[in-house]
Amino acid sequence: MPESLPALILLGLALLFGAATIGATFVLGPKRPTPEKLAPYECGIEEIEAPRQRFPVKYLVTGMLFIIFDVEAASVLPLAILMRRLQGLGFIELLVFALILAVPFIYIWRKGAFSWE
Amino acid sequence: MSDLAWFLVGALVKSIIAIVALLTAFAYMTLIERRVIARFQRRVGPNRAGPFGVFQPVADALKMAFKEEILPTRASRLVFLIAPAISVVVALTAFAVVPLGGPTAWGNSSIARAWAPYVADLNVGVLYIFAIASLAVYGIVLAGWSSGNHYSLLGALRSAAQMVSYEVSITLAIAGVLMFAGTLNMVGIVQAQAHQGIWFILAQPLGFLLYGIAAVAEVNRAPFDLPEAEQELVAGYLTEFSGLRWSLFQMAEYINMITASSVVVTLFFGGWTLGSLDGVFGLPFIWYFIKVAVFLFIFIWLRATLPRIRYDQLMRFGWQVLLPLSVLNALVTAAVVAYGLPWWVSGAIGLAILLIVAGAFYATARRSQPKAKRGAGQVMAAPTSVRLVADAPLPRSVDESQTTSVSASAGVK
Repeated sequence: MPESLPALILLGLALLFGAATIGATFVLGPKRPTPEKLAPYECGIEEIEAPRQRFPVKYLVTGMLFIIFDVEAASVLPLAILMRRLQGLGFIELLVFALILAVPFIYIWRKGAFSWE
Repeated sequence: MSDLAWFLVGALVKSIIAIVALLTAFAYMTLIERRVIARFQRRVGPNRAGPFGVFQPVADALKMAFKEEILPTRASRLVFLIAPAISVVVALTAFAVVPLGGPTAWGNSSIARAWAPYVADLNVGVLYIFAIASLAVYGIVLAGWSSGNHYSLLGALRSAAQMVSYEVSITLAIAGVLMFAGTLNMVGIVQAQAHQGIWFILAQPLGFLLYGIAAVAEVNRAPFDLPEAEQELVAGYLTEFSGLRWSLFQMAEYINMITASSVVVTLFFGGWTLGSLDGVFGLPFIWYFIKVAVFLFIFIWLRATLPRIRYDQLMRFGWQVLLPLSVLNALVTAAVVAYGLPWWVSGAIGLAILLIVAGAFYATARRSQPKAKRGAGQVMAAPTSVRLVADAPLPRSVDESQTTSVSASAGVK
């Protein structure tokens, strides 16, 4: 029996629920739009410039770091599962892996990728 | 009916039960949270709708459903509509592999096994939860981006950076548990704890704390609720949302809290078991619910106690403290497991690391604070309404006016 089928069923039902709720927002509730109501919320001040402009590159750097280290984490998991069977070899492998990753980690730390002042 | 048919019917019914139960839990979590926080702040909280306010969630839901939904002109319509649904679908789906009891909770026949108290029994359960839960960032980022509002966009960007930063530590923090358990299967992890006769919190105190902190950040709860920091960003990515669409995000947040608590309970606290009391009919649910309720309370407790931390502190803490500690924890546990040392070795080393780090934090916090002797040559500049116990007794007239004003303000709700 496919193990993942129940998860898919739950996903399907959850999608149904989400779609039904979003659909319900069109039916329920009053609809009395005014231009002021539909304007972007700016605490009552008129908008000076459109959003969706350029934003700090820091966020992009964080995204790239995430990819590097999350791939690292993902490759540690199978090693973790097999640790008891691999014994000493597994530990040495994890140690080497961590040391290799420590080099770029220290480099980006020194480069100031983690400081947001 | 054949086994497969029973399996599918079971999965369908259990999925419906899971969704209804999660939504009910969400509704009552909002009430419990408001009541508990009110108690922390010496208020009463909502207690008017029904006895102890039990109908408050119903009233809230009805009010939300019949509010006007605003679709801002600047918003990109389709994405704006889909984003809340993504959040809640992801939150609901992630719960699929959380076990509320063992595979043989109702007996050992194949039909009883089809009704085992979890929706799916995936052999990659832990990975499934993290994979699905990490999709939650899409809901938030798309919501913020599609709103066409500065506050929303900034809140969403912050949230994205925060969630991806702490996700790395989450995955590494549980590596230690996986080494002890030797499986990614959620049921298997609980059974491994029962088999080895310990809860993995004992062998992994450091891993538990790292996972706990990262999980709070991952579900955007206080003190890591920066995406919705109201002093800076109005309501962050939620700014342009109203009515049911807004409540879908709230739903997602609370369901994520429940899932995070369930993961903690499963990985570190023996899931549905309590010593040998896991085979008795009905008891598995009870232990699971009690344990999860404790962690949900801790979520509320944190929110009532801690101030929100600053964004630069948040990012620095995530990358420079949590991540190295997670790797260290994984290495220590790897050494213990690989060389067949007893579990308490990793527990003791974990505690030692914890103490050292806490000491270092304490030392730096003390160093960064200016040295001032208490009360030496200082004039207390307290407002006149504040009276310290050590002060001279107040004149009688002032005393009376204060008591009357106190009772008057107590009368006002």
